[in-house]
Amino acid sequence: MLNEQYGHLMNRGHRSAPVFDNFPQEVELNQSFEDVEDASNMYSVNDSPPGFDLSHHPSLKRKKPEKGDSLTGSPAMEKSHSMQADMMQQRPASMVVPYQTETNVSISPSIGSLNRQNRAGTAPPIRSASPLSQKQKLHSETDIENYMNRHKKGLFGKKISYEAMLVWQKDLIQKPILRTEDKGVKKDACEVFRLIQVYMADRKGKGTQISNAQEIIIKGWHCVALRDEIYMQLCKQTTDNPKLESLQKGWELMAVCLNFFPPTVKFKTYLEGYISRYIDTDDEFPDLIIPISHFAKQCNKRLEKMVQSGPKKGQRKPNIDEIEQAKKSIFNPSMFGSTLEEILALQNERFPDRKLPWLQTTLSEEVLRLNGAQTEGIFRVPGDIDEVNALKIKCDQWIIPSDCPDPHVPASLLKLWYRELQEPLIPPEFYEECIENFQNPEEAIEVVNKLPDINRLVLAYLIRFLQVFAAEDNSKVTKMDVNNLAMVMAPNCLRCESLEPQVIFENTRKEMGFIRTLIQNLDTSFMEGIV
Amino acid sequence: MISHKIDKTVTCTIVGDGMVGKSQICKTFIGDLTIEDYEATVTNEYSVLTQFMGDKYTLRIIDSSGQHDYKDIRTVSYKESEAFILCYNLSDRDSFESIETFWIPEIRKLCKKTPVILVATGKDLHDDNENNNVSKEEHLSVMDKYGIDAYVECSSYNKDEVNEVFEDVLLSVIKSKKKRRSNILHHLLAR
Repeated sequence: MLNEQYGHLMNRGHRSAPVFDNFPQEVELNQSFEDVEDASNMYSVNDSPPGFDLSHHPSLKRKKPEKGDSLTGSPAMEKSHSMQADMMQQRPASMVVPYQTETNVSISPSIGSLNRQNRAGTAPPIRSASPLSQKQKLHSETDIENYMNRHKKGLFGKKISYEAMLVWQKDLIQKPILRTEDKGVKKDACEVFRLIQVYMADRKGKGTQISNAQEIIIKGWHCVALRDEIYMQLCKQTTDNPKLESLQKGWELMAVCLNFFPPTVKFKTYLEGYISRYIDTDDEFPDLIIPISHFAKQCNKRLEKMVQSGPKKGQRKPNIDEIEQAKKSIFNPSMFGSTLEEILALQNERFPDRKLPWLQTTLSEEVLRLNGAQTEGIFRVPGDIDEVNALKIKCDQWIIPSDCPDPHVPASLLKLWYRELQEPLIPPEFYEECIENFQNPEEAIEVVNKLPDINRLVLAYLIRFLQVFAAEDNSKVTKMDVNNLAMVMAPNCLRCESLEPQVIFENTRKEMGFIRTLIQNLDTSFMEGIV
Repeated sequence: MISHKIDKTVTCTIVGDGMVGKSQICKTFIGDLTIEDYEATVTNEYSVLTQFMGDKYTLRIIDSSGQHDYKDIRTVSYKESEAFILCYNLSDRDSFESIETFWIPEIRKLCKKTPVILVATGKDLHDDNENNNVSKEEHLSVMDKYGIDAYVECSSYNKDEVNEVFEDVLLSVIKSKKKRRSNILHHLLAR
């Protein structure tokens, strides 16, 4: 029974305290090192766990790595390499291991996870909670070594321990941290590392911070193979970072990246473990205005969401505005630029009974209150930008100032809100259907009925609102007939992902047509009384 | 005397807030005199054959949407534009303020050196008593600040100065081409 259990552990290349108990004589060998814990960082053949065919060992030592696994061809990795190769055969090459379920030792993530920091000299308050936690390494953490390159330094190519590879460094890296065969990735990884250092102000470089971030994000968004490497580098640079500013910048960048592309499934567990160990570490850096735990929580939330939704859709590269927005939202969760679900969650405390976003209904009512339905060019004429921005800030504090007499201001902000929703009001997967059925009322309404509940309600409210303006009494004065209304609202509901100017042009008319069809045909009486 | 009879195409994009009368300027210039239309433009393109300083030019005018939301479709034509006509309405302060807060940044982000002509529309509606009006000092200061090449006040309604807008476009395009050419020449000579 024990053997089974530990054999299971071994399968993940994990050597933990229980293993030592089982094989005391093997530990002896290892104790030529300063302590057992450190020794376990090296991939020594001796401490191979039980269940592993020991007779195989000598051959491991001599055997050249087989062609297949000599990814980077570094002889220094020979041992861990072939070992890994063997282990790979025994298990699917997946790192998705919820680290707690593996052991019978129950340790909280924060305890187990503090380990690496312990060694780095920070004093963890909860270390003594479990005696095992001292020697226990996170599964995902040990595991990661199987995927890592071996870095070297100095004239004689002295190997750098895996431990040291995972902490902040001042110098550039010569090869990626994670092993890869892709030449392009190898080159890009080093470049990305430089950019990360520039972003974190550990290195001087050209360009603004935000343009550096954009470069990193475009690379990661574009090249799947580079994503884990980027997150790995960010983890590295936020571990034992001596400079607080740089540390914060690193976390900030991680949160921003997590808005655009996810790590691979394999790497997710590691990243999750890494992030989660910082969630409860408020007392560690008392000088920080924004505690690291805040970043960690944000990262955690974004990671969850990103793994669900996948990378940013479309062919358009992430632009500066999106990146700014992603950065800003770390510090102040806003009702702008979020998803509808997030907005509802934000208002849940204040307005638990509302089915629609407070901002949507409030701004819409505000436009009507200021006589927007009788104002020439409503929704077409932009409001004063400064006024709009001021109102935006107020709205995020749940205040609607009543001193602004211009209906164009709330109208512009309302458009902006729809436009800035993280996912378009009509989600991308329905886009094609909308475009195809822009002239067909029945089909168009069918599409609306297929939308997720929240999107359907919000869209129906908008259409109902627009129907007020489309009424002849109003459109005579506003000069905003149904065509004009559809024209100004279409890009706020549907987002064309194409890059081809020709396609954009053609689709724009169809997008407008779709909204026009809805204004003319959608029966929104069911929205009566819903707020 | 050799006159240059070769056709040259000059592309310009007309931008500015919604409802300032961009489309109306274009229409007046090409000789379409209907003023009843009231439709928000997505994008339109006109080509006009015109004569300027003895040369024949084909003037391509891209009439863009004033909706800030239509950024993607609008900026498609920015790259090929050799000049911008940036419009605001004389009796609408907000449209003037947008120039500084929205349009100049949008244009300069994509086209750093393309000449810009500032056009004030609705000259006929200009009323000195209203404090909604935009004063001369204000537009002069904006011109200085952003290096705007020319300023025209016009009225599509009276057809005042509309031709001058497009003359200024051609003039500034020719100027900027010359400048670029002489820059290249300087560059070569300096070596």
